Amino acid sequence: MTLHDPPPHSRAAILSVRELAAGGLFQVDLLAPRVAAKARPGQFVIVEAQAKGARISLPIAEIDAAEGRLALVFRANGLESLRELRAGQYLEALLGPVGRPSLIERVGTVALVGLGVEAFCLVAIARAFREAGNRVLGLVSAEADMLPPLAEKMAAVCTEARAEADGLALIGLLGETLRAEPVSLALAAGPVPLLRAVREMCAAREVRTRLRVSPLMLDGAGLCGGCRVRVGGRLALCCLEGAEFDAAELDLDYIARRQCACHI
Amino acid sequence: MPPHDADSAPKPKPKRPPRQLMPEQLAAVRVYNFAEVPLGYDEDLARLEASRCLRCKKPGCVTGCPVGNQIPVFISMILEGDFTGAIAKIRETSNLPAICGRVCPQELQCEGHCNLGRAGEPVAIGRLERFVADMERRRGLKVLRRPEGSTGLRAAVVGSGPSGLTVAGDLARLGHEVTVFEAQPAAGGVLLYGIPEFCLPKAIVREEVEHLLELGVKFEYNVLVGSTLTPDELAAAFDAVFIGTGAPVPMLMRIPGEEMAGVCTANEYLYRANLMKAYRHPEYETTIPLGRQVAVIGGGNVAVDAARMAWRLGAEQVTMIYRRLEKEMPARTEEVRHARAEGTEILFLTNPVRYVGDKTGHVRAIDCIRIELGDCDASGRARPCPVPGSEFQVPADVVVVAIGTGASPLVPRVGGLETDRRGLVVVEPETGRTSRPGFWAAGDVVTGPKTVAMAMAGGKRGARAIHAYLMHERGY
Repeated sequence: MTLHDPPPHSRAAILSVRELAAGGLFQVDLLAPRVAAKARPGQFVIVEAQAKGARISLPIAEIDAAEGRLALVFRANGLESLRELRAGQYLEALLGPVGRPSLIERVGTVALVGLGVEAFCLVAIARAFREAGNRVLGLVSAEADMLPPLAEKMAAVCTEARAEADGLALIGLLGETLRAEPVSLALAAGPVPLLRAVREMCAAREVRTRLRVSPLMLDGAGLCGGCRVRVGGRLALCCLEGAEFDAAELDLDYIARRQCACHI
Repeated sequence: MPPHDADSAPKPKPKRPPRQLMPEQLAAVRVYNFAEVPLGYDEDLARLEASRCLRCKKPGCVTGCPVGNQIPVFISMILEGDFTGAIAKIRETSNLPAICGRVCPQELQCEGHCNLGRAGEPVAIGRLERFVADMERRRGLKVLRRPEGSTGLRAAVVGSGPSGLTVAGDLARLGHEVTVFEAQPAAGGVLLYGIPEFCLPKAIVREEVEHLLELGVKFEYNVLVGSTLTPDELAAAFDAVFIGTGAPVPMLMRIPGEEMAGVCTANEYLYRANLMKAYRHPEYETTIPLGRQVAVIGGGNVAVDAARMAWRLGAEQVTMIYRRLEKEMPARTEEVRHARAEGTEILFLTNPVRYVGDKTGHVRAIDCIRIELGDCDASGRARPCPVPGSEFQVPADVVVVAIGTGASPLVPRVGGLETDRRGLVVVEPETGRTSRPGFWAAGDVVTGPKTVAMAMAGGKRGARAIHAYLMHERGY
């Protein structure tokens, strides 16, 4: 396929749609060779599922560049356009990859902490850290229905994966892990209270920590300003510079206040 | 009648008709719809207006036009009823006449230099341009032709805003193979996401794009150059690359409370309304912050567009907050007049200091401060200085921030193009050539936010330079 071919690749084909858990948790596998070829763990795509559907950002859960495939895991919430996706259809629009890739380094032991649907992006990140030669500990939690698929996916890619029933227990598990072995880097994805707790616990033990946020992006090219966060005292757009930031620099209060500002 | 009488009597000065008013939708009606506000001249009005032109030997209007449209020539063609000739004349220099006729700040460009305007009112050049361009569409007058042969040389155009569309059209007419890469799902850039339907119907943008398709230009949507495809890949697959990515990144004031619900950038507000059709929710899934009391920060065209959009989204009160005086507003005079007629109140010499929210974190009011104008700053405008102790509150449940935009950093960063302090791409002014061989740039990504006509002018210079490069250096 060259750049001069007529563009069948400008639209992504839906290979399969699976409901991972009741309550609208879906995994959609896409055939999108151009995007998959460039996508790196930690990046996002912008999706318009149907012609009159909303335009939203979703973190990429898994990447298969060789096959040109991407997996997205999301909760359809109130969005009918996402709930109605079927295998064999095309997405109205798929833009990506958006944002900066997760920084994959060889550091020794990495703890990946994830809570809820946002934790699915850790699957691709865990695989990359593992391939880079790290010992990867996956610590996750989610609501009852969502937890088994999340735990299963993490177990498949991490050196060691453990799951807890709720966020509080997850923090306890992180504390236990930090006491038990030398963790060089912690990376957390989830709601703001989790990020805050992970940051505090890791700071106390002087563990380098990065936090992933998942703000709503509209255009994905730096236009709308909807994904703004405050980091190191300045404003940054997640679609251009995110969505993984040094924990010490990220203003979590700002993000907490932004989250109630998000419109679909 | 003795013939000599006529000679001896003083010749009466020909009576010049007044500048013809534009028929418009009434303010009380238009705030409930998204249809275009000015309805356009009919043939009679256009010819009457055209008759006002002095046909100056040294036409100021032509020098005032960024692309150098031959204004007196096309105006005299309108007077003669030769509309095909008139549009062909405009298309010699302009690629987007239906758009420029609607959105150019004519009072600063052509009409601002009209000699008739020195003593009275200038010729309504913008309205006449719109008239012939609309006539072209309505009557299906086709003056553009696909070139016979192809040079086989390939040009990539990144971004489909005014400069990109111009470059694509000019290079295609010269026989080159052009592919336009656009990140959004449709072509037009700021013409689509930024300028509202009631100022520039999207059908007009689509028709300009269709013109290009007829010229053989290819469009690839949903491609974010710098990510989906890299500048290196474009350089390898094309003989020349043009960067016209514009200045889409919104600026914020960095004042307390800007993160609250109900505070959004004008780009987000207009993108949701224009491109995602949020005003037709729930038929369209996208939502938009709806407010009873909407405040817009800024005094440019985008601010005015947002204020006028707010009325159409059902606001009960719309206030613009601008830190300078009316004469310094960068917005088009006509749009400011429209906004006022629709009920918009403008607070001049006022700046927001902080946003005040309720318990749920939703904005409820803006703390503002009065401004005094001090000495002139670098831009030649008086520097705004806050007056201590002059704070007052403006109630607002939706705030739209429209204080300007900056260039997108993605393509220069990934492509290694030299940029200046503001992140604008550095080019050779006459050609648009960037620091990277084989790459050209023009439009807002080079100049910062400016007008459609200026982006088009930059695109035309870029296209000429690219053509020269392709013909000579790529060994055609």
